[in-house]
Amino acid sequence: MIAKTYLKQKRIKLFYLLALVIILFVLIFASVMIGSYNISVYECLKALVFKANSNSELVIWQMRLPQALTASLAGGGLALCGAVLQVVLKNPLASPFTLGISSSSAFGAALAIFFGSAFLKNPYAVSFSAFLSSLIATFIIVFISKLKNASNETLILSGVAIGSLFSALLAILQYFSSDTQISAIIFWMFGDCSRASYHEIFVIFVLYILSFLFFLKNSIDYKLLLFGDDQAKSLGVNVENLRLTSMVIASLLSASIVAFVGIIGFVGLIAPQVAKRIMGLDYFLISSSITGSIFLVGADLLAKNVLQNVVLPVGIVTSFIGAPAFFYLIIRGKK
Amino acid sequence: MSLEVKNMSFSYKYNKILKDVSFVAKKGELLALLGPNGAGKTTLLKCISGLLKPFGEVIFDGRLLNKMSFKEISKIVSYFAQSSGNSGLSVFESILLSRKPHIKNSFSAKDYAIVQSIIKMLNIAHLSLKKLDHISGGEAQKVRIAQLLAQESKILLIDEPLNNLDLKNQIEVMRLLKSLIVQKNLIVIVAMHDLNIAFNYADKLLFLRDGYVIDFCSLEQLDNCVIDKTYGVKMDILNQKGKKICIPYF
Repeated sequence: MIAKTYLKQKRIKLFYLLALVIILFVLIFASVMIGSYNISVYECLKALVFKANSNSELVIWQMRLPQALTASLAGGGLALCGAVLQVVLKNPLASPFTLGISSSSAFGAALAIFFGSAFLKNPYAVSFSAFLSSLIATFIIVFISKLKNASNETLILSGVAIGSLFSALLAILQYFSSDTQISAIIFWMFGDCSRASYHEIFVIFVLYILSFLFFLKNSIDYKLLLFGDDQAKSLGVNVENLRLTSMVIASLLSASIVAFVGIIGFVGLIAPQVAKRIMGLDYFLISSSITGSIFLVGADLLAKNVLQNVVLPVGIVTSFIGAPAFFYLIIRGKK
Repeated sequence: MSLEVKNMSFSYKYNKILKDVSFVAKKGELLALLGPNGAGKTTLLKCISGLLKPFGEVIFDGRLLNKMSFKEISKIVSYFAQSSGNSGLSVFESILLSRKPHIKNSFSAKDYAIVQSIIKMLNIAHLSLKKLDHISGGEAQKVRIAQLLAQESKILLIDEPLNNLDLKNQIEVMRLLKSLIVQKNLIVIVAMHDLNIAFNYADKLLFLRDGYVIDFCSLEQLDNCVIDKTYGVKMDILNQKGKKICIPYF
């Protein structure tokens, strides 16, 4: 009886998930339709399904759809990493950027831009350098926690230290850069979903799916961590190992997202919190991820349309919406 | 079958916490672990459960526990810490999660059935859909015992289960433990502070002070001066209706 009621309650949450997915699809559809060149629903569907050869088809398939897909994947990926890190680091303020990913990748991108002329022949040079740099940051953290222990405090403190180290390195580079280089660096740092093409979307998608499967496989262990490290260990969880591998995979996924779209703050922090309030801890990883997608596709839609004739970088919009939303969550308190 | 701890020592850096601790606990026995704060009770429980890696041996059924992985130990030993995290999980789910040592990837119908029968046995059905942070201290202790049972291990190590409980709940929890030990033929080691409760329910008493075993005995063999040696408090041990009670000198 009790088991049945419990399972029924859990099944109801599946409908919540379905609702979130529907909202996501509606938003993606809207961001394909709405823009400086408006496309009607009928025309939009025609272009999506039949690939009718027209202007709208070009706009949709070459510009708006990849941008919406990028936003959805990047938002979902960052939120997924945020959710996992909040659980394994036992800190509601953890996000993909707690471990220094944002400043280390910004430094990597700046480095490639700084030594530009030698690299610039390859269009992926900046992304690759950003990715490599955040990889280095991640492995410094892993090294430190292997040296000491992989407690959540060690990881968070190392992340803060790494973050400020790379910020300092970035500042030095900027100091010696030319005006054009500085503007290129700053432009890169504003996260923007229109940079990625289908190739990059495919890469992010594959990494997203692989990380997701890994996290999902450990979802029971993540719940056991809520009882405390000792309790989780006595139930057979290798806590240190789980914490380190989860951290590394979350860092890899967020580093690759950041490498392709730049720094997009607040999604990874706020989406898991919102998801927890809507759904509780059932299906927490999935719900956080979908909430992140919704958040970023929505923010991207706003960024394109809020000012006439200007497309804002989505990173600015997420921070604009994110900060007040965060205040709201704080004031409303824990549910 | 028995649990044997042989010459166990443990230090945090240069600070020796346990010094050459040895004892044997048999199946169907409740062993009370007694001693002042900082005597090493919690450390001893953590060493037996594999959370800490001590020198010396922990042997159960001829198998060396302290060479096993967390996963293997978790099928034999359950450990319950003094306080567990504030998790936001429901009572039912937290008991279900304790089935972890026995599952591969997800919970089966059998796991649900076991959890359900434990809930029925402990009479906590009315709590099962509440959140862990919304129940009282006494109820929480019962849920913790339910979690221990769901783990289906042969050795239960419980760190101060009577903390923050009123008299009635203390007795209820101890009775429950006692009946489970008989029913399931368990080995249970409980760290606790109340000597009279220990005298009433425990089969063996292990007195610990500064990491040393002061005495390991049954109630009948208990010597008056052991309590003084352990706690530094003079006590009278009286016989009352065939039971022993201790009263401090004031």
